[in-house]
Amino acid sequence: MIGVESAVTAPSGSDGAAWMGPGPVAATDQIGPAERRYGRRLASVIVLLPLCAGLALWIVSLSKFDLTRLGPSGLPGQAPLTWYVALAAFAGGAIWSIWSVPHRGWLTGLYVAGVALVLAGTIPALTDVPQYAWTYKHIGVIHLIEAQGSLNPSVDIYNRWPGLFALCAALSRLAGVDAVAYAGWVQPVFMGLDALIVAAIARTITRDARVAGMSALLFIAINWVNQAYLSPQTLAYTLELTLMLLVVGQLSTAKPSGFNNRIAGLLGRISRRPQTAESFGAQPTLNRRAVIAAIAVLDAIIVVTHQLTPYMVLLQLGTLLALGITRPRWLLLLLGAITLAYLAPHASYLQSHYGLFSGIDPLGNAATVTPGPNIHRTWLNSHSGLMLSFLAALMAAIGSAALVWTGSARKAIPLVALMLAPGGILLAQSYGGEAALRVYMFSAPWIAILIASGLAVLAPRGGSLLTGVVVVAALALYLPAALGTAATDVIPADEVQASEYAYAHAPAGAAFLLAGQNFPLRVGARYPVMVGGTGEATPDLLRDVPSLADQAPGERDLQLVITNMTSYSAHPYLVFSTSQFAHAAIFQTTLPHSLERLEGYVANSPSFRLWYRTANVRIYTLTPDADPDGPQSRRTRRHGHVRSIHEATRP
Amino acid sequence: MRHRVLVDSSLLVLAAAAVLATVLPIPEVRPFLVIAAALVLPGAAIVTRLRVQEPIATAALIISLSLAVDTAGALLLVWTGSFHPGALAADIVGASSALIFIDLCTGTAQLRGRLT
Repeated sequence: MIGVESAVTAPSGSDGAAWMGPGPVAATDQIGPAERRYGRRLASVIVLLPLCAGLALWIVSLSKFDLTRLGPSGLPGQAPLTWYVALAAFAGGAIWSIWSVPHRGWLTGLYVAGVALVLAGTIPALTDVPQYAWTYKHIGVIHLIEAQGSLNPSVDIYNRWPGLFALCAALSRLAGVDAVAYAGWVQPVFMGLDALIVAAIARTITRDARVAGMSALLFIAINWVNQAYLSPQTLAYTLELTLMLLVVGQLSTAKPSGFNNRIAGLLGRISRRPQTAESFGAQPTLNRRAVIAAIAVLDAIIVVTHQLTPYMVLLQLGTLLALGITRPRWLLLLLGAITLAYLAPHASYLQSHYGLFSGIDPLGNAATVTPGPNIHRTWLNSHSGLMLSFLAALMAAIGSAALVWTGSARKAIPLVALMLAPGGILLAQSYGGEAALRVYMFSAPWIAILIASGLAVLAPRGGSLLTGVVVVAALALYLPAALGTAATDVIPADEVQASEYAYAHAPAGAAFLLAGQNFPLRVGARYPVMVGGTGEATPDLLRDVPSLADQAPGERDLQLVITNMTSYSAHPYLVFSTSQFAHAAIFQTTLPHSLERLEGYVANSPSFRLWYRTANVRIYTLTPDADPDGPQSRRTRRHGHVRSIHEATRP
Repeated sequence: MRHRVLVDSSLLVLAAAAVLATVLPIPEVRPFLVIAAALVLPGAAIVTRLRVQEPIATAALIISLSLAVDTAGALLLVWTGSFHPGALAADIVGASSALIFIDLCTGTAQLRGRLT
């Protein structure tokens, strides 16, 4: 990786050659058919043509989308043919660039960036506000910091792990823009950045520019979890990848030793294939103390940014140390001490609000939580993520077997170990039903590198076709898995405006009761003074009054709704929105059209008054006639009620 | 060496443009220049001292280390309760530009030496 020596002095030999591929210097000196025919300059222009065509087609396709008419198939169901052709041009261009002679790394980078743009940049290009209702509670924290200029740890977990929020608040103030304006573009930018770091790690381990390019492309194609939105996890994940880049590139032992050596020897005897003595990482070129200091600083920032990621760092670093690949051993103690030192003052808060351990139940902890029975989602949309995960794991297994077969077990073993290490978290945490997704996410870089390495071994020359088959299979599952939920992920801009208005104008102590899930709550800086703003879950009518979800609502239910509203606050508001209706319809959280029917009764009731309205939102409040109890009794009940609610989702 | 001089010069131009867009202010380009400067300058300044040679790793480290430095600075602001991002930006841009300028001078001297 770091240091040109390692890049050009790739070990040669019959076994190593297939793994290594051509080094960058040798590859650049080679003359390809295009160069012979047109000359170097013209060839450089010609190789950009598919890129320009892809970009033009993507821009043309944007005018054909109508985000207000997204159905259960999500974005892929509505995408025009030009959008798919643009994606094919970028992906095909990347594959062609990876396998072309001479290899141009910058060209591969541009094509891979094009793939990220089409997959993650389409929705931000079509709407002014970010996707996902849960993004807005993060934006609310940024607004709070901008308004207060400081943190209040008693408010919520975000004020206790403030890395991302402090960064965005400072950037928003400096750039003179609201976080809502740029939050949507965080996803394509970080998707591309993460792919770049994965390419750098792959280059470090394999010294092969082609494997690096393939790893970046595959990382995007298999990583369907959509973690790269404006969230603490996104920043921590990028920093974790950087930390691993430094560990692998600068702290690897020069000679094969330890468990890795023994396991490689065993695999060599079983497969009856000689194993090369190559080291896992690159030859260190930087000052060791400076690298360790940089790793410690990166880890400290990860620790104060996100709750889970530091433990993923410890698991992966511990794995490399156990295999004898990385030194010094005390680095694990140092990073563990940083993690625990920050956890200690927040442990009681975590324990009381979320629970530090979910129990030693890996299978139970791996179970994911879905909002409803998913009946109205297409079968492909509901299962494609799981299918892609299994396909990726299968291809990674084939890749590692291919590496062992060609004598590179000493590289395959740590890659497999790094892929499996995040699973250790399942021994202790369910992470609000998301642990399995996070495990896959942290495994994805190593899965991508294993698949890419396997492709380089299985098709050392002219591997475009095989790479193309793998990428097409991955993208075919990625599209429904990651973009199939767009109907509920895309939030209309006026819903965000309604939420901003509500938090700016409602009196302190007000409660916004959602008729159903999926509304951009907590976007305003005043969210801590509202009910549900200080760590408890958002008031949710369907959770509080389950009968509304199980049966068609009638006028008789209005009293239940009023009682529920007044139990929270003296200033309760009931919110209906298009996004809630879409969520209820797609995830079947209610009987068909129950929310619409309920709103009809609310709108016609003298107990309710319309407080705010946009095209997609209606916010109702109660009239004085609707209040059966005195304010004193309301406050008493609210206190007990709110505290009984446990926040269901994790940051 | 010529590449190094070109990159360092571009980074200094970016720093100057971001400062101008913020001070004047020029709202049309300010967000783009400020975010670009925040994502590049601190990391690039650190990488000039590290002498990282692999291009992919260089690009990855520049952006990631920039994010790390920016986050550390922003945390300092909110933890001390002294939320003045302008002062923080001035410190970061000033220190980064100084390191990049030193690297530019070294690169220019080496280039001259090679040409003569």
